[in-house]
Amino acid sequence: MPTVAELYKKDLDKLLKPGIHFLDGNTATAEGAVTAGCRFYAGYPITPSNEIAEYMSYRLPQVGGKFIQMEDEIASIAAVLGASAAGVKSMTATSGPGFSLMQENIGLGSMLEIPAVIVDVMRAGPSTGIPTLLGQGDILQAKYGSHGDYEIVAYLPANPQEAFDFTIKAFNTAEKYRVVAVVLSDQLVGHMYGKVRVPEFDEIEIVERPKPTVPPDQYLPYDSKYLVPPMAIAGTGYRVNNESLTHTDKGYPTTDKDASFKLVMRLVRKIRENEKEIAEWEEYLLDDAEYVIVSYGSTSGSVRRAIKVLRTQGYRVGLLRPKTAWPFPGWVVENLASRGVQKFITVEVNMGKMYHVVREFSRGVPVEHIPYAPGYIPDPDYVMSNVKKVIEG
Amino acid sequence: MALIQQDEAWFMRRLVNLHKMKRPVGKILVNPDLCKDCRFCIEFCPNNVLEESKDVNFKGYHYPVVKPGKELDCVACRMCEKICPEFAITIISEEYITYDKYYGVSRHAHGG
Amino acid sequence: MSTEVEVATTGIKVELPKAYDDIKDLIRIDRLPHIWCPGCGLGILLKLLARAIKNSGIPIEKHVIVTGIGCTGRIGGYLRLDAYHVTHGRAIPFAVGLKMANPELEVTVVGGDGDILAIGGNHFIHAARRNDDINVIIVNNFIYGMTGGQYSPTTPKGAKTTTSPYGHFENPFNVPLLAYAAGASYVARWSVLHQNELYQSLLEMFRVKGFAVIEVLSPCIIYTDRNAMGDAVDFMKVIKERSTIDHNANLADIDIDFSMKKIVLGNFVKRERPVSYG
Repeated sequence: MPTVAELYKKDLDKLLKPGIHFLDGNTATAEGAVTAGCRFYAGYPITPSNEIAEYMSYRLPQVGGKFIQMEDEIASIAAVLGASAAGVKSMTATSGPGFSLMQENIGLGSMLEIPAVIVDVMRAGPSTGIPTLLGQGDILQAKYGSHGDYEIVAYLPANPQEAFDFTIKAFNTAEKYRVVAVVLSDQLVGHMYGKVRVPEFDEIEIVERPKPTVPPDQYLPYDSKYLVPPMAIAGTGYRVNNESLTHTDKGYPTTDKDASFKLVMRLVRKIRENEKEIAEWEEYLLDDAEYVIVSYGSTSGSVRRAIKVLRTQGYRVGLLRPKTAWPFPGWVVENLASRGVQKFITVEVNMGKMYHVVREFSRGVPVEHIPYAPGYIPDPDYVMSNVKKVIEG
Repeated sequence: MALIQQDEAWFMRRLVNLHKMKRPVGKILVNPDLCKDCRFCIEFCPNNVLEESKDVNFKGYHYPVVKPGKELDCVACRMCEKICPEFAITIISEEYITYDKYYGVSRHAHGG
Repeated sequence: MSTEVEVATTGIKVELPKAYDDIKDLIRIDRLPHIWCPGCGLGILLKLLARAIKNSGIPIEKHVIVTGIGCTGRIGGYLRLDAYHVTHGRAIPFAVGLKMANPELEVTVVGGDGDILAIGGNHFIHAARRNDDINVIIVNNFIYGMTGGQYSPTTPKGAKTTTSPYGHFENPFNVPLLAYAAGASYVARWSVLHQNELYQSLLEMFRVKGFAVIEVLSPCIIYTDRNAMGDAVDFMKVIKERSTIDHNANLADIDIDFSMKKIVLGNFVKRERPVSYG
């Protein structure tokens, strides 16, 4: 795989220098995107993601990219898909209400198989909710928000360092599998200042989308021979029909049952068959844990502290922190369940989202949710007392 | 070049000899499979050359055909070709006909 | 090389007539006959657009067509170009993204009145305000044809549609005035009957730097049937008889009402305005 050092040789001095930086999560996200090669940003102002747009409007012209503030989030994601179709790595950033508006075109991105990155800085909902405070309620929407069958990839950063790293990963995954990748950051991660170590440029690997190798007359835009067909860029002479209707390999609309089924199968298979490669998670004190707390994002920091204290009090608890919400590392939960874990406890800032996902894989082991949604993460005391309640019944 | 243009201009100013004057004759080629019977060509033909066929194409539409006796009436203005939304009509105008011959044939056709 | 191609859906062999030899590499012959109703004007626009693209002087591979949903949205699928058939109303922002990312592209959006002015109305006025260097062709057939004849933002007051069975009681958009007020660089209105003028207008649209809008009046049998206007041929005859060409018309006076007594066509606006990116 090529690295940043090879791909962006002439821009290297304009990128964020390798070394230690002190950044907030939103800026780290934006810098991650620029390092990954993002050169187009379209967005609409929404708290708490504004810093990303502001920083990108300042940063992208410096590296030869383009920034536009569109009239709404729907237009933003459409412009992002358009720019990506023209061969430029593109992203947008938004929060809950804007993410809801983008859902239809996430389906479009999945159908046309255009790589794109959406940063969703989650805030408290429903509806307008509390714009300045956090929530973690977009987990299920990220995957199931648009209609029909498709798959996306979603990352869950927990601190500015991960905001930087996961944005690069999101671009790589989006390009590799031609999918829409979502970075599900949250308000606390976005506004949290922290240490960000930028690796040396020859250590950061960059994945580019598969390019067609055949001449235009033999090229099929949605060739079912591949799981991820090569992508022809607009204006390069391939002259293909990119169709949002259910289409054949050639890109022609179809109602043929074999062709439709084959297409939907491929759209889903390209992620499902590679989930072990994409999915990431962190295990903390899980080896001897009887009770597994599943938590992610900014909440996991509080849970980690609670676990440390609970351990000193003799409770055998551990933390499973998915770094990718989608694909969800379900087999890890399954292995834990078959190993004899007593209970799974999910701690999130919502009324139970990942709870349902964990239950899907828990093989009959009880799953309890600790609901908390006041716009803040639960403090370690709250987690501790509630975990104790769950454990002691 | 200039001489020829002058020559033509001089020719234009003379009275037209209708016995020798020629005009193009269009040959209307219709691809029946593409036709959907919108009747644009039939209605907008300035010389009313076309009419609906008795036959139908594979989709069940009546396609345009040249009216009997009007084979020489098409002057190749290409209106039907232009207005056809279906890419179904093409006009070939390779032949020319004198008015004498046209009226003679026409009279013969109607008289006979 | 023969132009005869087997159609994927029906299996019949279709040969493109000789008259289209100049645009045969631009038309996806294997998809003909197209899906539009008998009497629809979109086929005529398709031919003219293909010819205009061919003769625009811009390399064919640099042309990109972006279409939304609806009957008009299918036009891109018949052109052998880089075509993007996207979600309902979002063709303009998608095109803006394409053009910004690669300013060498000549991006043309083709959409119906519902697609561009109703669900995509906000994108339309904002792209005109920014003066994005894209071309927009609005095919105005006064109705939502593909969904079966519901009223659209250009349906005249009084017209009967499936969702206005007692007569439509809203006022329609005056498209050229809207485009001008929002800031478009080039505004024209033609019909599919005015082929030479429309063709010249399409060529001009490709030359204009800035947001170019052409409203194309097109017959729709779904609209004419329901309003006792006869069929598409009668609609075309109305356009033929009642349309006047006035390039200097006062844009405020060129509404098309239900009686269609007055249809003003022309190349109304051409002005220099700073273009956004690109």
